[in-house]
Amino acid sequence: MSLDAPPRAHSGATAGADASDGRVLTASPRRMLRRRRGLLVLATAVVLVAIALVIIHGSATASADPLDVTNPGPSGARAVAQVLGQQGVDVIPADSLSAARAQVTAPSDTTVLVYDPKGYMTGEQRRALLGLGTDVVVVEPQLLDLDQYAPQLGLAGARSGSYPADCPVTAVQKAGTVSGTGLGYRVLPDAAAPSASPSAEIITPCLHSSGVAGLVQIADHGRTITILGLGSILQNDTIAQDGDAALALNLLGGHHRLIWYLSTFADLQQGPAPSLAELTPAWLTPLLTLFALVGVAAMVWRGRRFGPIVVENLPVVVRSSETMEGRARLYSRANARLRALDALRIGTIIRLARLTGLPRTAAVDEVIDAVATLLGRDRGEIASLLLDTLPSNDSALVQFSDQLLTLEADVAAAIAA
Amino acid sequence: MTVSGRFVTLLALGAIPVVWLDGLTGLLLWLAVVAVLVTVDLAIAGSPRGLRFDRTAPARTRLGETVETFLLVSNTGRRRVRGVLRDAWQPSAGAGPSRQPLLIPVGERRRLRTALTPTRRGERRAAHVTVRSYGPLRLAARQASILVPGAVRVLPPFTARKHLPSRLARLRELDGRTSVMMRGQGTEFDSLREYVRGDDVRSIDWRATARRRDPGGGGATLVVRTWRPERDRRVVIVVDSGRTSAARIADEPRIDTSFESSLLLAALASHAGDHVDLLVFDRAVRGRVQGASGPQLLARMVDAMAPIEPRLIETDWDAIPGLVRQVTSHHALVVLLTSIDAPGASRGLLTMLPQLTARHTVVVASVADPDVLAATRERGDREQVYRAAAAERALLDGARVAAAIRQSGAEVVTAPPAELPPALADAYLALKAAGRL
Repeated sequence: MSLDAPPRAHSGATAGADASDGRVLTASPRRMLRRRRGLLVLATAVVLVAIALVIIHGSATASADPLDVTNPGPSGARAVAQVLGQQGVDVIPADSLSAARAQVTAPSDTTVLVYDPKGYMTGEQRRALLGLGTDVVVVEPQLLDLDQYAPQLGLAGARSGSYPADCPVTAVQKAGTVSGTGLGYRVLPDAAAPSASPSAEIITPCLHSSGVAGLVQIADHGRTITILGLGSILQNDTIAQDGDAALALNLLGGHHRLIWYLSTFADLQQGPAPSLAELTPAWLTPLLTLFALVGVAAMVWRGRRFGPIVVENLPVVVRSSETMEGRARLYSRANARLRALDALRIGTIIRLARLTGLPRTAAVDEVIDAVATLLGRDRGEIASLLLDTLPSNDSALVQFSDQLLTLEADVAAAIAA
Repeated sequence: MTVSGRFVTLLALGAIPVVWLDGLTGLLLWLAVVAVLVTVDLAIAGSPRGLRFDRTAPARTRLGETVETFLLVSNTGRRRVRGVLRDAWQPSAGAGPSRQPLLIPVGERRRLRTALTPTRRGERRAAHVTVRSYGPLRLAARQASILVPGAVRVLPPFTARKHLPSRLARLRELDGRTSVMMRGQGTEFDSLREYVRGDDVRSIDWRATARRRDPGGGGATLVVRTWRPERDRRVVIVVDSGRTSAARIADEPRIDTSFESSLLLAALASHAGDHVDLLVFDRAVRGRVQGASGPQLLARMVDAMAPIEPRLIETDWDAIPGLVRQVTSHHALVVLLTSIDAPGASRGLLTMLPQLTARHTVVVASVADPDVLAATRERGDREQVYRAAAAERALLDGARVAAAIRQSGAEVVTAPPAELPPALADAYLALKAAGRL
């Protein structure tokens, strides 16, 4: 007897009964737990590993944005940020103008790097940005951005290549040769500039090739704006090329604080359209979760089996006429007209012999004679029907079969009469 | 454990607090409420494991009849059990109702009735009892299946019984009760009695007449002898349970028709005072009834037949003569219930037959397929003509086998399923009348 069997309530009455009688088939929760222990341990292990992986990855909090100081990927700028940090520069990432402004304590000792590839910032924000620090580095400004940063410059398209130091800017001088990819800028003639600036401005285009500069420095009343077209010199994968690192470190390490400002969504003061999450009410996600739970509950409700299935061995049962049907299909597929007609004729001849009182062993000719005499019909005609004629096509076969039946009926009627 | 429709509805009602409390708070609150309610409900529900079962079922029933089985359920647990019970019988036991409501207070006992209308003969078993015990809120239930075995043996229906009275009447005509005057093979001397007008003069026993001559000198009293058919013959019925017996003819497997026929024959033969033995055989003996007589015979026969199903193996005919010799060493009527369809399939039977016919009177009974017979007359279109041709060929094959069996010295009886039992009974009566048993 199984250990799980409960004590018998009426052992006397059913003494001779099966020992397994009354055994509970459904596993108790505790037994189920014991039986599935391996599975449970495995599931727990998987969950723990998953959590550990998330934690390990989470500590890296890697961003995939280009030129992000936390992005260790090829397009990130973590390398230059870390080196700057080691050199005593306080690198402060900012993702919006207000965050950047909050970090500025002493504008005179602050370098501001701004990178806005998606064009989130408005003109006012760009103008306000210029007041944050005395040293502003604008990385790859777009055409419209130049209106505020450097109206004297025009965008001259993408460029890449290796450029020797060709201007008095200290950082460029120290770098020697610079190679990179990015945008190029052209200094517009003074007349063409819409807002002609006072002559105090000194524009220094650097890293030339055919009149297009990869870096332009504009000094104005003790404030320096550097337009860095070759953004790739800051990237992790290319910073070690030529004098890129020197250029980047000298350009950005001039002050104790460096505000590393990447413009993001947060700069959109009035977004063009509210996002889906803002449009939907707060209860929508919990409600959908609830409905999912209701669905699962309904599945359990309808799907839970009322005890195990009772199995039963059913006997094999074949239809007896199956062989006959199979043979008919074979005849039909092979167009075995003669063979089929022969079978029909033999059947008819046997029945006719019985009707006319001939013995079972009677020859076909005797049957034909007997039938011809009985019906008073031509012997040749009956012989051709019962023996000689070959069916040329299926309709002839059907016709013969009908004639055989008619003949049988005629003989039966003649005998009855 | 399982949940009810109420639980699902209750969970769905959580939409109200979710919208009302605007979000996650409502959801968590509602889930907590539902969880508490379900836990309480489950805690109060009585355990199905505290139930004790006692099953009473009749040992036997005939196919086509309905029997009642009872399940005594006593609650030895600490809480009352209310819910639903399923008494799980095999599908072909035709158990109903399949679900029954259950309400048993602590320490009490209830009797549940399950009616069985089996759809198939054989041993029909009950496997287990499943109880789903709901709490007072009917939100969730505890469920357990408990092994409570039981079985009902479903016997062959023996619908051919209806042919028995007419055949018994014919038997009585043969039997001593209407004595025959003719002496012949297979008759035995019954009695001497006075001649009455109409008696055959050839049956006058002159020697007895001389002895009975009246001493008083009155008129001569003629004495005639009467005869009656022999009794205490042996009938051995061999049912083929091999491959061919699985075929279904007119919605009845061949083996079932064979059983019906052998039951009618056994009933008739035991009334006629003959000994009947039954063998069900394919490659091994699947059922055997020997030495039973009177009312015991039919009871033992149906009991032996009930669990036998056709096997998908070729019958070993060579073993049959040996088996018959084991049953009786004297002359007997051997009835083989099998199929005689095609010369190829019947080769084993045909090679074995001479051994049997040398010692015994043999009857081979086979079910004829009415579908095949009907197919020969349907010749409407091309397909039907080919079908008719195939049917004619099948009949011809059957006729050839039957002729070969007759040549071996055995009798052949073929008939559609419903008519085979009376046809076989008639063949038996004819043999008995001819004194060939």
